[in-house]
Amino acid sequence: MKLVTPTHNPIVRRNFALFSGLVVLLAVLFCFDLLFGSVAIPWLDVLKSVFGKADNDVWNTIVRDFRLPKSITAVLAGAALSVSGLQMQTMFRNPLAGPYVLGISAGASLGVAILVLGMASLGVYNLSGLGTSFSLAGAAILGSMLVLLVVLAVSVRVKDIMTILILGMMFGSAASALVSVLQYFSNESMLKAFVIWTMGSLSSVAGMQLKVFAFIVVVGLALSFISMRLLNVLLLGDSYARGVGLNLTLTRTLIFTSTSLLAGGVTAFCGPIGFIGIAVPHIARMIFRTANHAVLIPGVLLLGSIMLLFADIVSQLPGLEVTLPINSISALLGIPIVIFVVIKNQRFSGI
Amino acid sequence: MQKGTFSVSIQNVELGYSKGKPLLPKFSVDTHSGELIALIGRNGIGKSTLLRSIMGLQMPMSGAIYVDGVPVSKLCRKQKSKALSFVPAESVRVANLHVRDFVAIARFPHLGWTRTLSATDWEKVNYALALVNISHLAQRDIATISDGELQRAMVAFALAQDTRIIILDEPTAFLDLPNKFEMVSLLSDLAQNNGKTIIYSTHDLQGAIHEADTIWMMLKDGLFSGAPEDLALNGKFEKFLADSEVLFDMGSGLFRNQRRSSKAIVFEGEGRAAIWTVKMLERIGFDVKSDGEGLKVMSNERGNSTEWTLTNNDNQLFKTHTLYELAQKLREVNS
Repeated sequence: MKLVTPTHNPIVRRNFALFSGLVVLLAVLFCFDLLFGSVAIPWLDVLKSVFGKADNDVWNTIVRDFRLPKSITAVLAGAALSVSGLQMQTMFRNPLAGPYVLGISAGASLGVAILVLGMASLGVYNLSGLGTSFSLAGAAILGSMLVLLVVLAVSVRVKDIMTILILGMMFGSAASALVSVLQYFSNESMLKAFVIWTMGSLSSVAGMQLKVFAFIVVVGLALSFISMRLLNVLLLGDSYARGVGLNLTLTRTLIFTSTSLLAGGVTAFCGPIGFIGIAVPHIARMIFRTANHAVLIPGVLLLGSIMLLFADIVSQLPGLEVTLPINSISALLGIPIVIFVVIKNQRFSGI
Repeated sequence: MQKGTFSVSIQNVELGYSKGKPLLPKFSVDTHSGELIALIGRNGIGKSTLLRSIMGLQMPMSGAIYVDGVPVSKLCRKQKSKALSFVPAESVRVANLHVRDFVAIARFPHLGWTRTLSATDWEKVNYALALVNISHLAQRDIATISDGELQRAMVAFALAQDTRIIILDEPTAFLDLPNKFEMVSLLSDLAQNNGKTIIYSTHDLQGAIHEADTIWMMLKDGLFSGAPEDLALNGKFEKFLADSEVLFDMGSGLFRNQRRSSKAIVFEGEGRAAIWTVKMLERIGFDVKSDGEGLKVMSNERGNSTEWTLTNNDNQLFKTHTLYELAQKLREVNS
């Protein structure tokens, strides 16, 4: 048989095995995530209640309205953060870049801060309303869109990518400074509401919000798949990219839009979840040993979902009734992994 | 004039960044395919600006640049990347990127909307690797190969892009001496055997004199084009070195520092040892004469070793088997 099947190439065969393994791991963790929570439900009943078939209605509600949306959110948010982190690391050719490098989370924070601290202090907005998390998301999206538009406007005029990076960081810092001003003038309960938002949460996304969130993430991921081969060219730097005729402005616009949808969407619905976006691309490069984004993007997507699901399982402290902030857990889990990667490779410059 | 007969034709071009202040006066120059052109000039004279202008990344202040008879400003991004390839000076050190995958990125202008490489594309990539003799490195990580190998991979990149014109920005800058020579002779072979027009900027005038078909010398009063030998004969090299301490030796075709010879010394000797002894004496600042009074060095070849004797008015001062010790002694005597 003279077939050019993937199995003839050792690298492709290895990647196929890795991807299969990751998909299985993702499925297993997803099930575990459904199993654990502050209410103990037998695993068979969890399975039944996913389809609304459990005998206990409370269990049905818990699993269908709380645990399932939260697990799906973890999968989506993990994938979104990691893919946008990879895009930023490649685009800026900087191992420390992440989804928030362009000031997207700072912009989102500013939007939320204006809503929670500003409006609420003036009595215009009531935090206890039903639409709370939707208006939080809206404010965060507006804030991150504002930062993105400024960055895009700059990147059309400025050719040097490092200048864009520095300007993005400056806009982010300016937004953070404004947030601090708002914090200074707000009362205690408003401040606490804002601080809790910054800690991140996967459990406030359900129903209609989950649909909107999923739509944003899917569009962002679709754009990242379109930009896959363009990222491979960008990896070599702007001189090479121009040399082979890459349309830099169009490519950057595509990637910035994808990243802001992904990172902005997550920040809007779950709060600023740090670290996953920086750490996962490095883990993916170590596992797949490639710089090819056709492999890295799907790899990072799966690994990101796995990481955040795992963080979510840990944050629920199986057996206990408290839940820790997801932001801290993702950082505490990710840091040892990155330290391991750094020490193993003796350098972090794998971009 | 038929512009179509030249691969690159530069017509009345003025380079610069501010109006009325061109970097150098207007110039015109043409190239044919199969030609290796070395672009020489002091730092800041506008070498990179010229290369960028040929690439169409920058507009000249006046005049026009034609590529295969078409003004480069009229070419779209894709046409440009199929006509000209560019090898930047900065090196690509991307971890986990295989040499073959790096070179494969050069096929980008030839790909369809799916951006996937066909069997023909991969053939061209492999052929490019073979042309620069690095087929054995195809599976290596580009961050782990040597500078010389990387520079070859960068040339393979340009070859895989399959353009008639290749422009390289200082391809020999980071290479050791043997690699420098090999790189220039590789470029020369590629120009001759594959009909490419290759333009490279360099500070290695010596290498350019040995291998380039044409030298473009950028001086303050214009760009001068010609065979290396022409430029040597019509004094452009001296002009290039005018306000420096370096001299061009017409006899040997070599460059050397101006010597501030202060003291006279007499030398007697023969053979290869004599040549290198005179070099050393000039290096440490002596004016070497064949006869006279005072300090005198004699070299004496005995089998495999040479013995040097230093005398002053026929009084023997020193005997040694290395020029290093002789030089030390002479500095001592001199002070």
